[in-house]
Amino acid sequence: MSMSYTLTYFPMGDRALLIEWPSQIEVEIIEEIWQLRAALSHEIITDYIVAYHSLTIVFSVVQKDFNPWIQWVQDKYTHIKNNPTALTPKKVVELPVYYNPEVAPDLETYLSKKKISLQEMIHLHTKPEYTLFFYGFQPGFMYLGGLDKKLVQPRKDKPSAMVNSGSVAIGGAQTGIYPLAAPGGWHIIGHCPVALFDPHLPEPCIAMPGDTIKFRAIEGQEYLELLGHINGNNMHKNH
Amino acid sequence: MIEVIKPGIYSTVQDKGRLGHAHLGIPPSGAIDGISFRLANAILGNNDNDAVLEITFGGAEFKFLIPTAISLTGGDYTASINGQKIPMNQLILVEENDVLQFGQRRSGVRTYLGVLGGINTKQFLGSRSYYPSITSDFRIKKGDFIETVTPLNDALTISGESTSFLENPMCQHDLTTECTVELQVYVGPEYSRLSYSEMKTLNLEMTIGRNDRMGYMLQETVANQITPIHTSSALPGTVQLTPSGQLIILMNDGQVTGGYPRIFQLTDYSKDLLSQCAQGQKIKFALINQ
Repeated sequence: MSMSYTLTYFPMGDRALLIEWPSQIEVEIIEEIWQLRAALSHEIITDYIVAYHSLTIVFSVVQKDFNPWIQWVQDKYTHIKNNPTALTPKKVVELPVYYNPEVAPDLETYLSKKKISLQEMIHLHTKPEYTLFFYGFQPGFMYLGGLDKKLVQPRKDKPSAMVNSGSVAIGGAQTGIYPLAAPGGWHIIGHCPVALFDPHLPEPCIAMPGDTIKFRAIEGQEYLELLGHINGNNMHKNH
Repeated sequence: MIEVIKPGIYSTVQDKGRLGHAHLGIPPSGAIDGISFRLANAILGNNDNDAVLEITFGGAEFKFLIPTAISLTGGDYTASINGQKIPMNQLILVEENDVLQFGQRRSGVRTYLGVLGGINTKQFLGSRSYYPSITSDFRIKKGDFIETVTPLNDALTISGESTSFLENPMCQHDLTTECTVELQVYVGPEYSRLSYSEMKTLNLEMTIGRNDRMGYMLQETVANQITPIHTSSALPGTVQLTPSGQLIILMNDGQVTGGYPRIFQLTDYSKDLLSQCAQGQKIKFALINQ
């Protein structure tokens, strides 16, 4: 049997159960969460919310007693620890990013604060294979693990009133892309001219938790071509 | 078909919500006052997930282009048809070209307009509930024509299930209260991180501030030293406490994960009740003994 964590259970009100791992951001922990989530299924559970070190199961009806559910989850956890299976192969999703002040309002301030050149920043941001931990915050917003420590920069003191959809940003030790326009406190360093979320599709998101995201720096010409492609797309007429 | 003559300040199509998509960052949405939503459908003998209109602060005007039956539940805005006042919480028959208008506010914030057979707008990811970036529209507009399901002739017979719901004393709530609204809450995952004096501050009466379908802010702040958390789940009815002391009660369109400590979780009933409270309303959290 591989090493087990001690899971803790906390009813969030009377319709949800929070299952927590130790408070760490680790690939080993998130992999367990994905595996446990895949092992759980019940007709009265509507949603499974994965985060860095937690899984929350949401019930369609009020539960008077969570103990049988806790036992059920714990049994499944023991089972997956006793019968380890290899995770299904991950997809690598490459996303083009145009790192240019014209589309990234915070890029110049960010570079001067970090005291690095644009070339160095692009190199450090495109090098890692980021793990898609989970989605949250807004539809299609990816929580990615793997940002280079040299690029870490605390969030802005005052969030921007509106960040454009497709903005690539850094906030603290995290990096991500805003799939939809929203107010936000991260530093915008680039723009991704590819639609990340399409509610018309049965699978509205381009990648699933466990997949790997790789950024590829593009030039202005390719940026405009890709941008023209998504603007001609039907879904964007709805925005 | 319903013609929108005046949309009001914020009116949307809502059903039970877009369940089963939280793992993609998609909030549940759905009628924010679940009790009044279920009542609107039950009165008509509709299915419990049939879509209705959720009208915030009245001000709307609709014209019915087919004869049908409707129900109004939730906030009372002195509704009338062709100038004649109509009651809340009852089945009302309407004729072709009848005009429904909202007047003065008497209680609540959100009125539900149920239509026989339900509203029949396009579903996105299994739901008709409006949400920006998912449905084509995020609010109804002047001049919109809203599709309704064409009712069968015998559809006016109320089903057994609906009748039993109507007999439940919890199927309607009193929205006329002028005094402090008590919200029943369970302790949240990070409640135990609060100091005794911080817990005591949370027992005081508070005031509703800015609010929308995403969340309700409270005007008072609670100075705190609570240790931060890594991003984790958030649900409708989750009460977050920010480092600056702001209290945020998440609602149906709220984000499914968040980085602020979760100190309370409202019961569904209290969340429904809160959705009928306006800015300035006094509230008090009442802990449920476990």
